[in-house]
Amino acid sequence: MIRSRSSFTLVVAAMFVSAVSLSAQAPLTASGAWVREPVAGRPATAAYVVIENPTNEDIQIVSATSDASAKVELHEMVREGDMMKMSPVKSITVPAHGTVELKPGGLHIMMFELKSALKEGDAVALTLTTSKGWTIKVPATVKKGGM
Amino acid sequence: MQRLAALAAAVVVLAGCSKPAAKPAEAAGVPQASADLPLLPIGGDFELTDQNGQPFTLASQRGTVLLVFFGYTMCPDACPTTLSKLSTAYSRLSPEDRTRVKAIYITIDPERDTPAVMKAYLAYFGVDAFGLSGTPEQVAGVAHLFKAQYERSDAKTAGGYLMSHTVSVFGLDAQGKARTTIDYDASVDAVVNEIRGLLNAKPVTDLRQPGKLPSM
Repeated sequence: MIRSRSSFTLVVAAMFVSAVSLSAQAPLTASGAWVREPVAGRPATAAYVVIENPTNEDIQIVSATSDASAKVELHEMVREGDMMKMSPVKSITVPAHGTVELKPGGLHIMMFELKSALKEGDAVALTLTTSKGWTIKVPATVKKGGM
Repeated sequence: MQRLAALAAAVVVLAGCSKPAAKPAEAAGVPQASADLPLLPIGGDFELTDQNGQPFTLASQRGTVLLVFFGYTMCPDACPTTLSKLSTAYSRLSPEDRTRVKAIYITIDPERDTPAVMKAYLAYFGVDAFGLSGTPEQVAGVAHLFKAQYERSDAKTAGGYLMSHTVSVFGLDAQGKARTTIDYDASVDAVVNEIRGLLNAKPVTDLRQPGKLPSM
């Protein structure tokens, strides 16, 4: 009886912890977020942002969502000689007391199946999720070109 | 496009205000350092299909400096970056120089990049460009001429397959000869300088025909 009560308590505690962590704000700050205006009706585009981690532990970003596209993926471009290779990545690490810069030619957020034709100046809401289930909301602005 | 035109006009006006009279050396036709571009062992004439579905031959572009690069319109990052840069560099040229420079964007994804797709894509950037496609074999042949590489990525994404590809821009002089390779990371200023170098480049045919060299 005691045993089952304690395991019940454990389960409730576990549910509580997971509920809290799911809704927790990640201890990260995002700045300078922008989305490249999609070219001539192309259904995909990229988003960029600088993320800072002021904590003592590395934080992994494992997924992203957006109000502007049906699908969002984390990608990286790697230069091999004069060839540029792009591929999805499982996670992006924001180092402890450090920053990671998502920028053209490097790590970036890919938005596929855009819901509408994004135009320069439009506001896009991105949400990043960490391996611990924390989220960070990133307001971004659509910009043309960008180098 | 309007904005680019306005920017270009502003740049031209500024240049007009501050530009000193041509130096005597320039007036006398003394070549600048950039005129001594080497002849690169790449390139050559080729035929593909332009964005209007018409046959394109490189040989038809003699007299025009050409900026040749390879990419695909689903390219989410590298190609828009390069095109934006070329577009900005183009707007910084004088109106006269602009008539002597064209970009050539060759798709390495001809299965998805039809002439119509290429046309819409290039119109967006406001750069005077040909958008060329062809059969996969034709495209492979042209890439081989420029020693450009590309391959389909194995990674699956929500946007279908991705391509990896060479991101350098190949600069051809007015005779269609490859004279410079512009690095992907080159600044707009560097690209403008490269274009001016190509515009001022001495034809390499002169170097091969000593009898026709101008007397120094």
